[in-house]
Amino acid sequence: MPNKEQEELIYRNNRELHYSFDPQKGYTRKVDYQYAGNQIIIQQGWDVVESRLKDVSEKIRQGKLSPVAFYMEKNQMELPMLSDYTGFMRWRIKRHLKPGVFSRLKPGTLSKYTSVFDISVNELLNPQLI
Amino acid sequence: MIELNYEHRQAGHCESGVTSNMLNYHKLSISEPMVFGIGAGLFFSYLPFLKMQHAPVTSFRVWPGMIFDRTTKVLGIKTKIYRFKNPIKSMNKLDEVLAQGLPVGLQVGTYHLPFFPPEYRMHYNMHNMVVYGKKNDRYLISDTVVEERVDISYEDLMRVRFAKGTFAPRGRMYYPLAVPSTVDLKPAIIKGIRKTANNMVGVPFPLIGTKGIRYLANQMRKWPEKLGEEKASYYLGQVLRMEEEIGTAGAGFRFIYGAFLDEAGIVLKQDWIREVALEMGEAANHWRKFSYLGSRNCKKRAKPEESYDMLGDMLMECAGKEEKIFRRLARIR
Repeated sequence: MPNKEQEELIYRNNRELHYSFDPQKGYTRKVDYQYAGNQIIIQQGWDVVESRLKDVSEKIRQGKLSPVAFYMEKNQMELPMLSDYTGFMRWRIKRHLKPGVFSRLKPGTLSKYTSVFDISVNELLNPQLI
Repeated sequence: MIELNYEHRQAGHCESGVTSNMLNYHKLSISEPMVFGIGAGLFFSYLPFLKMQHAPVTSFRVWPGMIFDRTTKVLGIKTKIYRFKNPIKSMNKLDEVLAQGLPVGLQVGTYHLPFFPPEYRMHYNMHNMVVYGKKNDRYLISDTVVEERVDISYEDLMRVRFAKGTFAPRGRMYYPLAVPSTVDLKPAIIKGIRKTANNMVGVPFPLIGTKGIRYLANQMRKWPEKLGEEKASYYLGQVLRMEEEIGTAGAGFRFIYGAFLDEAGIVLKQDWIREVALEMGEAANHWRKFSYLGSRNCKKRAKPEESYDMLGDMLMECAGKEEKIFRRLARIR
Protein backbone atom coordinates (compact mmCIF):
# COMPACT_ATOMS: atom_id res chain seq x y z
CA MET A 1 0.00 0.00 0.00
CA PRO A 2 1.31 3.44 -0.91
CA ASN A 3 -0.04 4.90 2.34
CA LYS A 4 2.71 3.28 4.35
CA GLU A 5 5.06 5.94 3.03
CA GLN A 6 6.49 7.75 6.03
CA GLU A 7 4.83 11.12 6.09
CA GLU A 8 4.26 13.49 8.97
CA LEU A 9 0.82 13.07 10.56
CA ILE A 10 -1.10 16.30 10.97
CA TYR A 11 -3.79 15.08 13.38
CA ARG A 12 -3.22 12.83 16.36
CA ASN A 13 -6.40 13.42 18.33
CA ASN A 14 -8.17 10.13 17.95
CA ARG A 15 -7.57 6.64 16.63
CA GLU A 16 -10.25 4.97 14.54
CA LEU A 17 -11.01 1.51 13.30
CA HIS A 18 -9.79 0.87 9.77
CA TYR A 19 -10.46 -2.10 7.53
CA SER A 20 -8.02 -3.21 4.90
CA PHE A 21 -7.45 -6.02 2.44
CA ASP A 22 -4.35 -7.95 1.48
CA PRO A 23 -4.53 -10.71 -1.17
CA GLN A 24 -2.51 -13.04 1.10
CA LYS A 25 -3.92 -12.20 4.52
CA GLY A 26 -7.49 -11.37 3.49
CA TYR A 27 -9.49 -8.78 5.42
CA THR A 28 -7.97 -7.26 8.53
CA ARG A 29 -8.94 -4.55 10.99
CA LYS A 30 -6.77 -2.23 13.02
CA VAL A 31 -7.17 0.81 15.24
CA ASP A 32 -4.90 3.68 14.24
CA TYR A 33 -4.70 7.34 13.30
CA GLN A 34 -6.09 8.34 9.94
CA TYR A 35 -3.66 7.66 7.04
CA ALA A 36 -1.28 10.48 6.12
CA GLY A 37 -2.83 10.78 2.64
CA ASN A 38 -6.30 11.12 4.12
CA GLN A 39 -5.11 13.71 6.62
CA ILE A 40 -3.95 15.88 3.72
CA ILE A 41 -7.43 16.03 2.25
CA ILE A 42 -8.95 16.76 5.66
CA GLN A 43 -6.54 19.64 6.06
CA GLN A 44 -7.34 20.89 2.57
CA GLY A 45 -10.98 21.25 3.62
CA TRP A 46 -9.95 23.45 6.56
CA ASP A 47 -7.53 25.49 4.43
CA VAL A 48 -10.42 26.39 2.16
CA VAL A 49 -12.52 27.41 5.16
CA GLU A 50 -9.72 29.69 6.27
CA SER A 51 -9.18 31.28 2.87
CA ARG A 52 -12.90 32.02 2.61
CA LEU A 53 -12.71 33.63 6.04
CA LYS A 54 -9.84 35.81 4.85
CA ASP A 55 -11.87 37.00 1.87
CA VAL A 56 -14.78 37.90 4.13
CA SER A 57 -12.46 39.72 6.56
CA GLU A 58 -11.12 41.80 3.71
CA LYS A 59 -14.63 42.76 2.62
CA ILE A 60 -15.52 43.80 6.17
CA ARG A 61 -12.43 46.02 6.33
CA GLN A 62 -13.53 47.64 3.08
CA GLY A 63 -16.94 48.28 4.61
CA LYS A 64 -18.76 45.98 2.19
CA LEU A 65 -20.02 43.40 4.70
CA SER A 66 -21.09 43.31 8.36
CA PRO A 67 -19.63 41.09 11.14
CA VAL A 68 -22.58 38.69 10.68
CA ALA A 69 -20.90 37.61 7.43
CA PHE A 70 -17.69 36.90 9.32
CA TYR A 71 -19.31 34.68 11.96
CA MET A 72 -21.47 32.99 9.36
CA GLU A 73 -18.34 31.98 7.47
CA LYS A 74 -16.46 31.14 10.66
CA ASN A 75 -19.23 28.72 11.62
CA GLN A 76 -19.21 27.35 8.06
CA MET A 77 -22.85 28.28 7.62
CA GLU A 78 -24.72 29.36 4.55
CA LEU A 79 -27.90 31.42 4.43
CA PRO A 80 -30.43 28.59 4.70
CA MET A 81 -28.70 27.08 7.73
CA LEU A 82 -28.28 30.38 9.55
CA SER A 83 -31.91 31.10 8.81
CA ASP A 84 -32.88 27.76 10.42
CA TYR A 85 -30.74 28.42 13.50
CA THR A 86 -31.82 32.03 14.09
CA GLY A 87 -35.40 31.77 12.90
CA PHE A 88 -34.86 34.90 10.77
CA MET A 89 -36.05 34.87 7.17
CA ARG A 90 -33.26 34.70 4.59
CA TRP A 91 -33.96 38.14 3.17
CA ARG A 92 -33.67 39.59 6.68
CA ILE A 93 -30.26 38.01 7.21
CA LYS A 94 -29.19 39.31 3.80
CA ARG A 95 -30.05 42.81 5.00
CA HIS A 96 -28.12 42.24 8.22
CA LEU A 97 -25.04 41.50 6.13
CA LYS A 98 -24.97 45.19 5.10
CA PRO A 99 -22.85 47.26 7.52
CA GLY A 100 -25.32 50.14 7.48
CA VAL A 101 -28.27 47.99 8.46
CA PHE A 102 -26.22 46.01 10.97
CA SER A 103 -25.16 49.12 12.90
CA ARG A 104 -28.82 49.97 13.57
CA LEU A 105 -29.87 46.49 14.82
CA LYS A 106 -31.72 46.29 18.15
CA PRO A 107 -30.15 44.42 21.11
CA GLY A 108 -32.78 41.67 20.81
CA THR A 109 -31.78 40.91 17.23
CA LEU A 110 -28.09 40.97 18.13
CA SER A 111 -28.60 38.58 21.02
CA LYS A 112 -30.16 36.04 18.64
CA TYR A 113 -26.91 36.06 16.66
CA THR A 114 -24.70 35.93 19.75
CA SER A 115 -26.49 32.86 21.09
CA VAL A 116 -26.32 31.01 17.75
CA PHE A 117 -22.64 31.88 17.27
CA ASP A 118 -21.81 31.30 20.94
CA ILE A 119 -20.14 34.71 21.43
CA SER A 120 -20.60 37.94 23.43
CA VAL A 121 -22.14 41.10 22.01
CA ASN A 122 -18.73 42.72 22.14
CA GLU A 123 -17.25 39.91 20.07
CA LEU A 124 -20.08 40.26 17.56
CA LEU A 125 -19.49 44.00 17.17
CA ASN A 126 -15.68 43.69 17.02
CA PRO A 127 -14.75 40.42 15.28
CA GLN A 128 -11.11 39.31 15.29
CA LEU A 129 -10.62 39.62 11.54
CA ILE A 130 -7.87 37.58 9.95
CA MET B 1 -28.53 7.25 37.84
CA ILE B 2 -28.49 4.62 35.13
CA GLU B 3 -25.55 2.83 33.62
CA LEU B 4 -26.37 -0.06 31.31
CA ASN B 5 -23.90 -2.84 30.79
CA TYR B 6 -23.24 -1.76 27.20
CA GLU B 7 -20.10 -2.80 25.38
CA HIS B 8 -18.32 0.05 23.59
CA ARG B 9 -16.76 -1.20 20.38
CA GLN B 10 -15.25 1.03 17.74
CA ALA B 11 -16.52 0.55 14.22
CA GLY B 12 -15.61 1.54 10.69
CA HIS B 13 -18.99 3.15 10.04
CA CYS B 14 -21.22 4.80 12.62
CA GLU B 15 -24.63 3.46 11.64
CA SER B 16 -23.67 -0.16 11.03
CA GLY B 17 -21.49 -0.04 14.17
CA VAL B 18 -24.31 1.34 16.31
CA THR B 19 -26.74 -1.27 14.96
CA SER B 20 -24.30 -4.12 15.52
CA ASN B 21 -23.46 -2.95 19.06
CA MET B 22 -27.10 -2.45 20.06
CA LEU B 23 -28.06 -5.91 18.79
CA ASN B 24 -25.08 -7.29 20.65
CA TYR B 25 -26.48 -5.73 23.84
CA HIS B 26 -29.68 -7.69 23.20
CA LYS B 27 -27.65 -10.91 22.98
CA LEU B 28 -27.72 -11.16 19.20
CA SER B 29 -24.10 -11.39 18.14
CA ILE B 30 -23.74 -9.95 14.65
CA SER B 31 -20.65 -8.33 13.14
CA GLU B 32 -20.49 -4.82 11.78
CA PRO B 33 -19.81 -5.90 8.15
CA MET B 34 -22.76 -8.33 8.39
CA VAL B 35 -25.07 -5.47 9.39
CA PHE B 36 -23.65 -3.30 6.63
CA GLY B 37 -24.25 -5.99 4.00
CA ILE B 38 -27.71 -7.04 5.14
CA GLY B 39 -28.68 -3.39 5.41
CA ALA B 40 -27.44 -2.96 1.81
CA GLY B 41 -25.30 0.00 2.85
CA LEU B 42 -22.99 0.13 -0.17
CA PHE B 43 -23.92 2.57 -2.88
CA PHE B 44 -22.60 5.17 -5.24
CA SER B 45 -24.13 8.40 -6.37
CA TYR B 46 -22.74 11.61 -7.81
CA LEU B 47 -25.14 14.55 -7.60
CA PRO B 48 -23.57 17.61 -9.25
CA PHE B 49 -26.75 19.70 -8.82
CA LEU B 50 -26.60 19.26 -5.03
CA LYS B 51 -23.83 21.19 -3.30
CA MET B 52 -22.40 20.55 0.14
CA GLN B 53 -19.68 22.82 1.49
CA HIS B 54 -19.56 24.47 -1.95
CA ALA B 55 -18.82 21.27 -3.90
CA PRO B 56 -20.98 18.58 -5.58
CA VAL B 57 -22.26 15.76 -3.41
CA THR B 58 -20.68 12.35 -3.90
CA SER B 59 -22.00 9.54 -1.77
CA PHE B 60 -20.61 6.07 -1.29
CA ARG B 61 -23.45 4.72 0.81
CA VAL B 62 -27.23 4.78 1.14
CA TRP B 63 -29.30 7.47 2.90
CA PRO B 64 -28.85 7.72 6.68
CA GLY B 65 -31.18 5.53 8.69
CA MET B 66 -31.62 2.91 6.00
CA ILE B 67 -29.05 0.45 7.32
CA PHE B 68 -30.69 0.20 10.74
CA ASP B 69 -34.19 0.09 9.27
CA ARG B 70 -33.46 -2.57 6.65
CA THR B 71 -31.33 -4.80 8.86
CA THR B 72 -33.86 -4.95 11.68
CA LYS B 73 -36.75 -5.37 9.27
CA VAL B 74 -35.36 -8.36 7.35
CA LEU B 75 -34.19 -10.01 10.57
CA GLY B 76 -37.66 -9.63 12.09
CA ILE B 77 -36.53 -7.41 14.96
CA LYS B 78 -39.08 -5.10 16.54
CA THR B 79 -37.91 -1.51 16.73
CA LYS B 80 -39.07 1.94 17.76
CA ILE B 81 -38.14 5.05 15.78
CA TYR B 82 -39.07 8.57 16.83
CA ARG B 83 -38.65 12.07 15.48
CA PHE B 84 -39.60 15.20 17.43
CA LYS B 85 -40.62 18.78 16.92
CA ASN B 86 -40.11 19.70 20.55
CA PRO B 87 -36.55 19.33 21.92
CA ILE B 88 -37.68 19.06 25.57
CA LYS B 89 -40.08 16.24 24.72
CA SER B 90 -37.32 14.44 22.83
CA MET B 91 -35.13 14.52 25.94
CA ASN B 92 -37.95 13.34 28.20
CA LYS B 93 -38.61 10.42 25.88
CA LEU B 94 -34.91 9.55 25.90
CA ASP B 95 -34.88 9.51 29.73
CA GLU B 96 -38.00 7.36 29.75
CA VAL B 97 -36.53 4.71 27.43
CA LEU B 98 -33.20 4.69 29.27
CA ALA B 99 -35.10 4.08 32.52
CA GLN B 100 -36.59 0.95 30.91
CA GLY B 101 -33.05 -0.36 30.55
CA LEU B 102 -32.68 0.08 26.81
CA PRO B 103 -29.72 1.73 25.05
CA VAL B 104 -30.87 4.29 22.50
CA GLY B 105 -29.41 5.19 19.11
CA LEU B 106 -29.42 8.86 18.17
CA GLN B 107 -28.86 10.72 14.91
CA VAL B 108 -26.88 13.88 15.62
CA GLY B 109 -25.00 16.72 13.96
CA THR B 110 -21.24 16.73 14.52
CA TYR B 111 -20.55 20.47 14.44
CA HIS B 112 -21.35 21.04 18.13
CA LEU B 113 -20.35 17.60 19.40
CA PRO B 114 -17.85 18.47 22.16
CA PHE B 115 -16.01 15.14 22.35
CA PHE B 116 -15.57 14.80 18.57
CA PRO B 117 -12.03 15.22 17.15
CA PRO B 118 -11.81 18.91 16.15
CA GLU B 119 -10.68 18.16 12.60
CA TYR B 120 -14.00 16.38 11.94
CA ARG B 121 -16.25 19.07 13.37
CA MET B 122 -18.10 20.10 10.23
CA HIS B 123 -21.84 20.47 9.72
CA TYR B 124 -22.45 16.81 9.15
CA ASN B 125 -25.89 15.72 10.33
CA MET B 126 -25.83 12.02 9.63
CA HIS B 127 -23.74 10.87 12.54
CA ASN B 128 -25.01 8.13 14.86
CA MET B 129 -24.16 7.30 18.46
CA VAL B 130 -25.65 5.44 21.41
CA VAL B 131 -26.76 6.70 24.82
CA TYR B 132 -26.36 3.95 27.40
CA GLY B 133 -26.82 5.79 30.69
CA LYS B 134 -27.07 8.97 32.72
CA LYS B 135 -24.80 9.84 35.60
CA ASN B 136 -24.56 13.12 37.54
CA ASP B 137 -26.77 14.79 34.94
CA ARG B 138 -24.47 13.77 32.11
CA TYR B 139 -25.43 11.30 29.40
CA LEU B 140 -23.09 8.37 28.85
CA ILE B 141 -22.24 7.94 25.19
CA SER B 142 -20.71 5.21 23.08
CA ASP B 143 -19.53 6.74 19.81
CA THR B 144 -18.00 4.23 17.40
CA VAL B 145 -15.58 6.83 15.99
CA VAL B 146 -14.11 7.73 19.38
CA GLU B 147 -11.66 5.46 21.17
CA GLU B 148 -13.07 5.73 24.70
CA ARG B 149 -16.54 6.02 26.19
CA VAL B 150 -17.53 9.68 26.55
CA ASP B 151 -20.26 11.78 28.14
CA ILE B 152 -22.20 14.92 27.27
CA SER B 153 -24.34 17.52 29.06
CA TYR B 154 -28.11 17.82 28.68
CA GLU B 155 -27.83 21.14 26.78
CA ASP B 156 -25.12 19.92 24.40
CA LEU B 157 -26.98 16.71 23.65
CA MET B 158 -30.19 18.61 22.92
CA ARG B 159 -28.27 20.93 20.64
CA VAL B 160 -26.67 18.19 18.52
CA ARG B 161 -29.98 16.30 18.29
CA PHE B 162 -31.56 19.40 16.80
CA ALA B 163 -28.74 20.47 14.50
CA LYS B 164 -30.00 22.32 11.42
CA GLY B 165 -29.20 22.04 7.74
CA THR B 166 -29.21 19.21 5.19
CA PHE B 167 -30.49 15.93 6.68
CA ALA B 168 -31.34 17.64 9.98
CA PRO B 169 -31.80 14.86 12.55
CA ARG B 170 -34.90 16.41 14.14
CA GLY B 171 -34.22 14.47 17.32
CA ARG B 172 -34.30 11.09 15.59
CA MET B 173 -33.93 8.26 18.11
CA TYR B 174 -34.23 4.55 17.48
CA TYR B 175 -33.70 1.28 19.30
CA PRO B 176 -34.50 -2.42 19.07
CA LEU B 177 -37.37 -3.45 21.35
CA ALA B 178 -37.58 -7.21 21.09
CA VAL B 179 -34.78 -9.26 19.57
CA PRO B 180 -35.20 -12.98 18.85
CA SER B 181 -32.37 -15.04 20.36
CA THR B 182 -31.62 -16.72 17.05
CA VAL B 183 -32.15 -15.41 13.56
CA ASP B 184 -31.70 -16.98 10.15
CA LEU B 185 -29.05 -14.88 8.44
CA LYS B 186 -29.21 -16.69 5.08
CA PRO B 187 -32.34 -15.17 3.51
CA ALA B 188 -31.37 -11.77 4.94
CA ILE B 189 -27.91 -11.96 3.34
CA ILE B 190 -29.33 -12.93 -0.04
CA LYS B 191 -31.86 -10.11 0.10
CA GLY B 192 -29.18 -7.60 1.06
CA ILE B 193 -26.81 -8.65 -1.73
CA ARG B 194 -29.62 -8.52 -4.32
CA LYS B 195 -30.58 -5.04 -3.21
CA THR B 196 -27.01 -3.76 -3.44
CA ALA B 197 -26.39 -5.44 -6.80
CA ASN B 198 -29.53 -3.82 -8.14
CA ASN B 199 -28.52 -0.42 -6.79
CA MET B 200 -25.09 -0.70 -8.36
CA VAL B 201 -25.85 -2.15 -11.81
CA GLY B 202 -29.61 -2.39 -12.18
CA VAL B 203 -30.87 1.19 -12.05
CA PRO B 204 -31.27 2.89 -15.41
CA PHE B 205 -30.15 6.31 -14.22
CA PRO B 206 -26.76 7.79 -15.18
CA LEU B 207 -25.76 9.29 -11.82
CA ILE B 208 -25.92 6.26 -9.56
CA GLY B 209 -24.20 2.90 -9.31
CA THR B 210 -21.33 2.02 -11.63
CA LYS B 211 -22.83 4.36 -14.25
CA GLY B 212 -22.43 7.16 -11.73
CA ILE B 213 -18.75 6.29 -11.18
CA ARG B 214 -18.17 6.49 -14.94
CA TYR B 215 -20.05 9.77 -15.16
CA LEU B 216 -17.89 11.22 -12.38
CA ALA B 217 -14.75 9.95 -14.14
CA ASN B 218 -15.66 11.81 -17.32
CA GLN B 219 -16.56 14.98 -15.45
CA MET B 220 -13.35 14.87 -13.45
CA ARG B 221 -11.19 14.93 -16.58
CA LYS B 222 -12.77 18.26 -17.52
CA TRP B 223 -12.47 19.88 -14.09
CA PRO B 224 -9.06 21.63 -14.43
CA GLU B 225 -10.10 23.26 -17.70
CA LYS B 226 -13.64 24.08 -16.64
CA LEU B 227 -13.06 25.19 -13.06
CA GLY B 228 -9.43 26.22 -12.86
CA GLU B 229 -6.72 24.47 -10.85
CA GLU B 230 -7.83 25.76 -7.43
CA LYS B 231 -11.48 24.77 -7.61
CA ALA B 232 -10.74 21.49 -9.40
CA SER B 233 -8.49 20.49 -6.55
CA TYR B 234 -11.19 21.43 -4.01
CA TYR B 235 -13.81 19.39 -5.89
CA LEU B 236 -11.44 16.45 -6.02
CA GLY B 237 -10.73 16.86 -2.30
CA GLN B 238 -14.45 16.73 -1.60
CA VAL B 239 -14.82 13.42 -3.45
CA LEU B 240 -11.88 12.02 -1.50
CA ARG B 241 -13.23 13.27 1.83
CA MET B 242 -16.51 11.50 1.15
CA GLU B 243 -14.60 8.37 0.17
CA GLU B 244 -12.05 8.24 2.95
CA GLU B 245 -13.00 10.40 5.88
CA ILE B 246 -14.45 9.15 9.14
CA GLY B 247 -17.14 6.55 9.11
CA THR B 248 -16.28 4.92 5.81
CA ALA B 249 -13.83 2.35 7.15
CA GLY B 250 -11.75 3.33 4.13
CA ALA B 251 -12.15 3.29 0.35
CA GLY B 252 -15.75 4.39 0.33
CA PHE B 253 -17.04 1.39 2.38
CA ARG B 254 -15.58 -1.05 -0.15
CA PHE B 255 -13.37 -2.77 2.44
CA ILE B 256 -16.20 -3.26 4.88
CA TYR B 257 -18.43 -4.62 2.10
CA GLY B 258 -15.74 -7.06 1.03
CA ALA B 259 -15.42 -8.25 4.63
CA PHE B 260 -19.17 -8.82 4.58
CA LEU B 261 -18.99 -10.89 1.37
CA ASP B 262 -16.26 -13.02 2.90
CA GLU B 263 -18.44 -13.72 5.94
CA ALA B 264 -21.53 -14.22 3.76
CA GLY B 265 -19.75 -16.88 1.70
CA ILE B 266 -19.03 -18.84 4.87
CA VAL B 267 -22.56 -18.57 6.27
CA LEU B 268 -24.19 -19.49 2.94
CA LYS B 269 -21.58 -22.20 2.24
CA GLN B 270 -21.10 -20.77 -1.25
CA ASP B 271 -17.42 -20.56 -2.07
CA TRP B 272 -17.88 -18.42 -5.16
CA ILE B 273 -19.01 -15.53 -2.95
CA ARG B 274 -15.71 -15.69 -1.09
CA GLU B 275 -13.98 -15.44 -4.47
CA VAL B 276 -16.02 -12.34 -5.21
CA ALA B 277 -14.94 -11.02 -1.81
CA LEU B 278 -11.34 -11.18 -3.03
CA GLU B 279 -12.27 -9.21 -6.14
CA MET B 280 -14.02 -6.67 -3.93
CA GLY B 281 -10.81 -6.33 -1.93
CA GLU B 282 -8.85 -5.66 -5.11
CA ALA B 283 -11.40 -3.05 -6.12
CA ALA B 284 -11.18 -1.46 -2.66
CA ASN B 285 -7.39 -1.28 -2.91
CA HIS B 286 -7.79 0.38 -6.29
CA TRP B 287 -10.07 3.01 -4.73
CA ARG B 288 -7.50 3.49 -2.01
CA LYS B 289 -4.78 4.04 -4.60
CA PHE B 290 -7.02 6.52 -6.38
CA SER B 291 -7.47 8.52 -3.18
CA TYR B 292 -3.76 8.39 -2.42
CA LEU B 293 -2.78 9.76 -5.83
CA GLY B 294 -5.66 12.21 -5.65
CA SER B 295 -4.41 13.56 -2.34
CA ARG B 296 -1.04 14.27 -3.97
CA ASN B 297 -2.92 16.42 -6.45
CA CYS B 298 -4.57 18.25 -3.56
CA LYS B 299 -1.17 18.89 -2.06
CA LYS B 300 0.19 19.97 -5.46
CA ARG B 301 2.81 17.27 -5.27
CA ALA B 302 1.54 15.26 -8.19
CA LYS B 303 3.85 14.21 -10.97
CA PRO B 304 2.71 15.30 -14.43
CA GLU B 305 1.46 11.83 -15.29
CA GLU B 306 -0.75 11.83 -12.17
CA SER B 307 -3.20 14.21 -13.79
CA TYR B 308 -6.97 14.41 -13.65
CA ASP B 309 -7.00 12.35 -16.84
CA MET B 310 -5.19 9.58 -15.07
CA LEU B 311 -7.52 9.83 -12.07
CA GLY B 312 -10.43 9.56 -14.48
CA ASP B 313 -8.89 6.40 -15.94
CA MET B 314 -8.54 4.96 -12.45
CA LEU B 315 -12.18 5.63 -11.68
CA MET B 316 -13.12 3.92 -14.94
CA GLU B 317 -11.19 0.87 -13.78
CA CYS B 318 -12.98 0.95 -10.40
CA ALA B 319 -16.31 1.10 -12.23
CA GLY B 320 -15.29 -1.82 -14.46
CA LYS B 321 -14.27 -3.98 -11.51
CA GLU B 322 -17.44 -3.21 -9.60
CA GLU B 323 -19.68 -3.80 -12.56
CA LYS B 324 -18.19 -7.26 -12.97
CA ILE B 325 -18.59 -7.96 -9.24
CA PHE B 326 -22.20 -6.88 -8.97
CA ARG B 327 -23.31 -8.53 -12.22
CA ARG B 328 -22.02 -11.75 -10.72
CA LEU B 329 -23.63 -11.10 -7.34
CA ALA B 330 -26.98 -10.26 -8.95
CA ARG B 331 -27.29 -13.96 -9.82
CA ILE B 332 -27.21 -15.07 -6.18
CA ARG B 333 -29.92 -17.43 -4.95
